[in-house]
Amino acid sequence: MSDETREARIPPPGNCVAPRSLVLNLTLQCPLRCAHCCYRSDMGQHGCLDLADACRAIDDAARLQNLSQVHFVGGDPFLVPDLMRKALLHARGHGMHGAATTSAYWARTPERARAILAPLVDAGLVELVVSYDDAHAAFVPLRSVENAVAAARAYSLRLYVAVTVDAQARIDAASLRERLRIAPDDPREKVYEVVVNGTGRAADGEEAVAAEAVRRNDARTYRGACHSALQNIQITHTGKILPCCGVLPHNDRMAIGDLARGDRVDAAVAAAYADPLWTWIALEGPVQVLVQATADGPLPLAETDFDGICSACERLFTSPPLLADVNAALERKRAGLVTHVGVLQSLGLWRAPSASTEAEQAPACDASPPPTAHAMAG
Amino acid sequence: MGTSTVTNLALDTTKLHAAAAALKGEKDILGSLEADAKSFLSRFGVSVDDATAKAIQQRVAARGEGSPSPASVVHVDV
Repeated sequence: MSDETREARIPPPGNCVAPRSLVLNLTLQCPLRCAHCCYRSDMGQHGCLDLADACRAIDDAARLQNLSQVHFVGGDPFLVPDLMRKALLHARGHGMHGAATTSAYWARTPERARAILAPLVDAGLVELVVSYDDAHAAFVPLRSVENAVAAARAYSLRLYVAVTVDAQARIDAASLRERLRIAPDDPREKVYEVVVNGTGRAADGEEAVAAEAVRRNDARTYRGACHSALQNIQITHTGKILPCCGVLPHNDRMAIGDLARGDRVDAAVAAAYADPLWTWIALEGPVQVLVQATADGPLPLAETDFDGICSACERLFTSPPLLADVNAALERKRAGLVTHVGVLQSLGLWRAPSASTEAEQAPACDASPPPTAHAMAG
Repeated sequence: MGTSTVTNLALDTTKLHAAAAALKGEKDILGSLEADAKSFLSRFGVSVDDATAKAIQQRVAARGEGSPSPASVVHVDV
């Protein structure tokens, strides 16, 4: 395993469309069973991305010039800390920095929180994203979040706290900022809210329909351009390559490649940038795609038919008739997309990757078998 | 999934290239696009539909200064 550290990569501006993050979804296993989880994660899920595939994806992604981050998600990636540590080391060899999203279930004491973060920080972790809200609070005491935050501060990590809310939320960003002592304008620590998307477990059960109706009328519901599509390139726990890390169950219709098939991540991403559907989703968002594609049909859709952009994408990619409508609409939309891309390119706000065939000198990958997904559970 | 590619389009891109060069020469290009993308681009002979104009305005308005984007498993500061 090489721990050589190359010069850090510089991420593009936030409003620029460019590949910026490789998101490795290591496992869908999670010791929690949150009511809104888009992946329906729990300890009954199976499968784990292996180290060899993780390193291969990192090597491929390193050919993408603007991509500066590898981000570990799940499930909870802290269930497989040694896999995460080895992949972090490998990414650092390419000059990428590391981030991880977690519930902080593992931070039961201040000492334990520091002990678990220490080897990850040594391997290149620079950013921690803690998910916490009413659903997480049913499984994880706030004390664990406080311990994780304190440990992150001790190691000078950038810190984000993601709060998923709906109309009845008791825990919100304001209450967490106060409890965690995070100033609203702190550049290194941010608490932010996202409204529940009606996907995964949030779409299950009798109460889901009524809850979705409420969210459709929630002023906070987001229906604009997708800032994840073409920017956060996800590798699922089964090795599928997705062009986003949206809040929706993995769907093969959204896959742009498959590591098991030998597909290269950088080539798949370059192809996705040339695909007008992903361009449309990235530039205007899936709600607009569906509204415009169905406008002249017998069942036109309205913006208020959706409680978020991820649920719109799930509807699009699970409905062959809607997908056919959108593909037909693309014939009319294509010239407009070319213009849109041209304008953004002239502003430096669209940086499509080229399909490079040159392999960057890759650090060695210690592809020993990953530990079991239960390594840190309980 | 789309069946054809943007880059393979048979399109007269001369006008777009001229517009791109003109855009680079503008002093307050972001402010002008944010205020009224449709009118501003029409000065360079480029026409866009309302949805495209709105999306351009929103993107340049973000200025890349950074608050986390909604609806993503990981955050994107836009």
